[in-house]
Amino acid sequence: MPDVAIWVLDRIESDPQAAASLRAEVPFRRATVLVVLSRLEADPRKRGDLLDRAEREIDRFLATTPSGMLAISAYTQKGNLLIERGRSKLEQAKRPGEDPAKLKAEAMPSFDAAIKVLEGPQRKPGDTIETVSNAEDAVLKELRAVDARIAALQGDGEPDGDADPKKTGRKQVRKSAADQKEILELEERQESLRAQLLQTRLLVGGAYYEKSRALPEGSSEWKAALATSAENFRELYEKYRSRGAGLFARYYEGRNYAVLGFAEKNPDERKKMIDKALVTLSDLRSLGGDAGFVPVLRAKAINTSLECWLDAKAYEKKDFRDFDDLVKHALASVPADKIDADWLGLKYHAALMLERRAEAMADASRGRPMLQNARRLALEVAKLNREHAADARMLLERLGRSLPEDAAGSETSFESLMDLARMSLTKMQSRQAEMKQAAAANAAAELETARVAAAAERDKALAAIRRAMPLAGEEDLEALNQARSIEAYLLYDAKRLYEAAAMGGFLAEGYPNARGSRQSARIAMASWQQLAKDGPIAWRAAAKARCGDAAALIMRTWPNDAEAAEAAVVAIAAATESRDPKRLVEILDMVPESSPRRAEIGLRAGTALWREVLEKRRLEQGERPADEMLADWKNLASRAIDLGLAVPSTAAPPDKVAVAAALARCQMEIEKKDSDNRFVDALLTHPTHGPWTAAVGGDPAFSTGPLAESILTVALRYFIQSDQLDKAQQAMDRLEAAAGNGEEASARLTAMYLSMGRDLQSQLEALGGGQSGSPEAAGKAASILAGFEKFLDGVAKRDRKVSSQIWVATTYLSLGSAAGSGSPVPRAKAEGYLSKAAEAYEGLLRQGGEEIGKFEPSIRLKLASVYRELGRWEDAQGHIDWILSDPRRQNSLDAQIQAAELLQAAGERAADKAAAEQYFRQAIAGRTAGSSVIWGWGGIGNKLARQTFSGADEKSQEARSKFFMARLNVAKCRLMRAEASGQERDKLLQMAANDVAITYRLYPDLGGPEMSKRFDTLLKEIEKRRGNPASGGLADLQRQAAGATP
Amino acid sequence: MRGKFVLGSNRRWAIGRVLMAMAAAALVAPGMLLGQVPDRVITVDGSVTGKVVSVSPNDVDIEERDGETKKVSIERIREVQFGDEPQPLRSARSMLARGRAADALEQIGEIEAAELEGAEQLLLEDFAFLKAAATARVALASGADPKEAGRLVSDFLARHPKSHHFYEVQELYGNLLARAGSPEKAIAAYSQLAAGPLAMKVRAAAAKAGMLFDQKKFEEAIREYDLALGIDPGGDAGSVQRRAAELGKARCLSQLGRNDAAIDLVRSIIRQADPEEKELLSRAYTVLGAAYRAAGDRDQDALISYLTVDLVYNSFPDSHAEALYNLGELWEKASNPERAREARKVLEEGYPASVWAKKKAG
Repeated sequence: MPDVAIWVLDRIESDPQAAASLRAEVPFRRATVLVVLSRLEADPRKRGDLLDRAEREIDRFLATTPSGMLAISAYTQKGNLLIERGRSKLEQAKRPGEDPAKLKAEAMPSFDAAIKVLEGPQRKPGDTIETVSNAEDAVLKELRAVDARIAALQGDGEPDGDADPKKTGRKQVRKSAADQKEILELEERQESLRAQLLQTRLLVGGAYYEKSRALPEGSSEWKAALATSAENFRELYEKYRSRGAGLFARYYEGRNYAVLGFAEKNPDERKKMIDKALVTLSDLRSLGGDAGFVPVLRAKAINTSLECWLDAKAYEKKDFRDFDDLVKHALASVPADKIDADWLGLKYHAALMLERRAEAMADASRGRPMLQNARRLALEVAKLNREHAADARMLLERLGRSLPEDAAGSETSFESLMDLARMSLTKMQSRQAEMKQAAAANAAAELETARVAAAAERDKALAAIRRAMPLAGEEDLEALNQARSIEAYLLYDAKRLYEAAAMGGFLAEGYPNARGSRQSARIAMASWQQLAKDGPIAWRAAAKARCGDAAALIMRTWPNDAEAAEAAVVAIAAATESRDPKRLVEILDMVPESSPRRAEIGLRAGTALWREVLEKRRLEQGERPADEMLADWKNLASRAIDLGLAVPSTAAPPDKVAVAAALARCQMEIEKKDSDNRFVDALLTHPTHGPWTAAVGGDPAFSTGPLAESILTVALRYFIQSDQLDKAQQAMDRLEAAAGNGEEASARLTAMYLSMGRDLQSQLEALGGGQSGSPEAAGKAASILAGFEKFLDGVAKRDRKVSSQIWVATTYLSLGSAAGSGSPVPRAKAEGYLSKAAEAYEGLLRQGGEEIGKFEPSIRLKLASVYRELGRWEDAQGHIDWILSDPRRQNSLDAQIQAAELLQAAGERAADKAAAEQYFRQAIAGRTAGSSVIWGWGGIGNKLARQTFSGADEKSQEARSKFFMARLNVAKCRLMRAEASGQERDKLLQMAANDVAITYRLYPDLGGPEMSKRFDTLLKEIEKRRGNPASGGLADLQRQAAGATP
Repeated sequence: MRGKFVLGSNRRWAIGRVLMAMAAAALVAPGMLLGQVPDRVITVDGSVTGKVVSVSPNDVDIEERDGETKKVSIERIREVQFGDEPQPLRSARSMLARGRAADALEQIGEIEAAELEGAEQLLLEDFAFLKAAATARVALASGADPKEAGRLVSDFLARHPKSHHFYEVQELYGNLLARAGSPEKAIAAYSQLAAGPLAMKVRAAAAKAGMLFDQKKFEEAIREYDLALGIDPGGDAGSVQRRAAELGKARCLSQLGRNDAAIDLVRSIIRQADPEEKELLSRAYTVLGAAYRAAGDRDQDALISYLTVDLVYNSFPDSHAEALYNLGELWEKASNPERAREARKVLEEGYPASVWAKKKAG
């Protein structure tokens, strides 16, 4: 509260009731407060004003009170203040852009004034001090008065107040108790005044030294100021050599000689002065112990001495016996709060000296320990980034060239290697900052230079960490884990993603509470994320799962942190990609109520879970999860989305996540037996997250692309079944618009219609609810079908566009294919739909023309599919043969697969065993009819084998999946052929088992876990039919393979 | 017996004799009075300092600062250090404990005869042990002829039947005999361990199982491991032996194609272990990597396991060399030939004598 103090002082000064002596003190007290205020002031101009005011106040005070204890303080305060002002000008002069000469000239009056106010004239012991105008006289006058009084009381003459008490013997005379008490008090005061005098004289010496800094180096004035300063210090040392102040004076004396020597041009004079400095400092260098000021003073002395030796190039002095001791002092660990410019100077200069001494040695191997110490010291200075840091870094670079990395390796400690690593890390980061600047400035060459330099530093840091880790002791565990965390970061930066994932994962799992573990966990997750995208194709799916594991670990370990929310989003993506609804449920369970992104996570997970429900429903019985489980997932998804949508989104509307979730929620509602159309209408047209609102809103993100297509197909289906035919037409038009106008437009539109047809199928199956569909559900299904029939028939009649006709045909195909167990579409009706589909497709073929010509093979493929559904094998085969009669189309894998499927399905449905046997044989080995060539599953497998294992790209992956499917079907058809065959049954069953065994032997992973499971099931079935019901399936083959290993 | 008041001609106790009177009064060990470095018995849960006064195959007696003698059972001991031993001897012991037998031999070679002149019996015994054990381990790791190592080891057993290294050397002897094609003799050697404390019984069974594994008798090896796991020696030391046996069992399971079971077992060992149980975990991650590889479709998981050895648990040459060998192959599978080359280079340069480097070269 210094400003309050000023106010109080003003009140006292203006208060006539206040004692005169108190009022007289006010200017000095005010000056003291103003100095404090100046230290708090950031603005240099205002600070200067405050100091000016303080100076004026001191002068005011001294004008009325020139002597006494307060006057001593006032003179000293003023001297200090002036020195401080001069110094600040000198500091300013060092800044870039300043005019040093001008600022030094401005500093000079402050130093002169300081000397004037501190230093008294030379006085002989008997001289009286009449007028006091400086600190020294003020102290001396007081001291003499005290001395005189003591002498009077003791009656032993007039001692000199400036004399060292140890040199003046005193007779002890017996005194009264009162006198003795006064003498004791006076002696205490005497001691205090002597200390004050010593301090004042140190200040005077210091002021001369500071003055020299404002003068041109080497000038006579400069030399005179330094010489006077040195002389002052020398006198003080001579008088007080046993006191700390005396020893400090000795140091400053030596320091001044060194400064004079460094500027001396004449070599002889220079050497003389440097030697003088070294001699002056010699006692201080060898000061023993670590008590009080000793370490600081010794550090100063050694630092200056090292500068002198370096200046004199005295690297090989024979009398350097104490050098090793000096190095020990330099190598000593200094607490962070104690390390100052002198310590840093000592360490840096010692490093430099060691480097020079090592270089000067004839035997390089003897110099190696010196270089190692030099590096350690330079590193210590460089990493603190303070005084001498830049020079230390240059030294380190030189040392890096002369001292190979491995030379430091075996003898360096964990800590020092980690220091090296951190240094390189800092450099790497600064190079990365340069990269950003270069990139922003479009400076390609600079960018490349910085990139190479950053990579080099990163590699150095990694190498240092790898060397450091084995050296860590048990007590270094925390530091070791930090090193591991840094390594994970560096590995990630180097795009060594597997290593980053391994190290990051290790730390996160093994030491979740260690500093850096959280970051390491994120690194592991991010590494897996990238590997899932860009890693080897065959490993991507597993990388996705690993990414999900890493995310789950983060969620479990730090559930309430922002990282957990981010991890949840990643985990949802991973679970979605790996088609893992159970994991999605787990993720939803793991997110705490308090999570800041719970709503968003609910929307994402709910949407993903619903997608999984839709996908899993399409699986064949046996592979499909239980209906109860599907219902649970659906309910969970519904709740998560409802909760998420209830929280206003932080993203600007329309928010994709919210829109997609709302769409999923609409689908859930639409397929309910007692669906609420008002709810669906409200959600579809919600102003912020309504999917229909978004799709018609003009934002391209919602009018084209996969989300738009989903919105429009769902909307179209909903509008048809809710009898909003105008809107349905709008949705259809938008769907066509979303498909675009290019060559692929028709195919895309067909795909959209197919997708809608599949959804419709699912919806109908869900309404069927297995065998127990209620009359209400059946009624609703009938109503939906009626709505579609009406709309499709309308479109078929009024819209002759090829795309519209294809939609009609495709949708009827979907509805017809929905027949079967659990579907509410009666078989007769389903056959009717298939017939309508066939009619529409045949109509298109009849229509002919260029546009149709382009689609003819795919229309015929569809027709083959329709006829297969209808069991019209000959018709189906006719279309397949048409397709495969053209050699250009014989390589169409889709057609070949469909041909094999057709033969297999015909075999399965054939009532006649001989016919069945014939179909299965053809399904395996193929068939040639006229110019039509069908490969069969065996041929498909053979054709795919080379492509499957020739690379790791997506195409190869897809081929791989088809290859194993073909191999599986070979064995499956062989099994069915065996059953149809009679005579050759055993042989064919053996062949079927061999099919699986050979595939396993050649490709043990069998295309992944899912496909392995199918091979395993099939093999067990084959073995069962061969009379081995306890067969272990693939496990038996695995054991056989292990036993055969040499 | 290393009696505390037996004054022989050795250096240490010659000084002790001068100080005996003073020390006896203060109940302070003479060495400590002189400021000598005390002996140290490092156990699985800490350490005891003082003066080792006697050893036997089953325990070590150490006289503590207060004059009390403490008995430390052999299964709890990780290492016994002697205060006045030459530095290379200590380094050799530490390296041997970290599986760096070749480096340990190098350190032993640095000890000059003069350094052991007048040294007391225990120190000489330890020197002999380190030389024999390091030679044996090098022979076992490199696949070299085990004859010379066998001679050193059997010589040690004959001369120092009361050594606290007795069981360890018996096990090594058994391993060398097994390698030399004498399984019956190996089993006889292992049976010496089985006569010791419970933890040694576990170790004996595990050692026998290890031999069966090397003979590719995996089912029999599993039975031996199960026998080992049926013994409950209790305490931390016992659990270390048990986990080692479990790891051995996992290796067998993997060889029998039961990779999922092997993987589950190793993962459970890893979960239960302290992450700084480096020796155990370096082996665990190596076994895990092998099981993943054998599973056929889990090469990526194998890569991560071997990388964990390379990045975290790389101070044990056997495991590290095995990890590097596999990394060389797996990086190729991951279409990263540069990394594969790096791994092979580190293997060749770091462990040129290992079976893995030879396998690579072969």
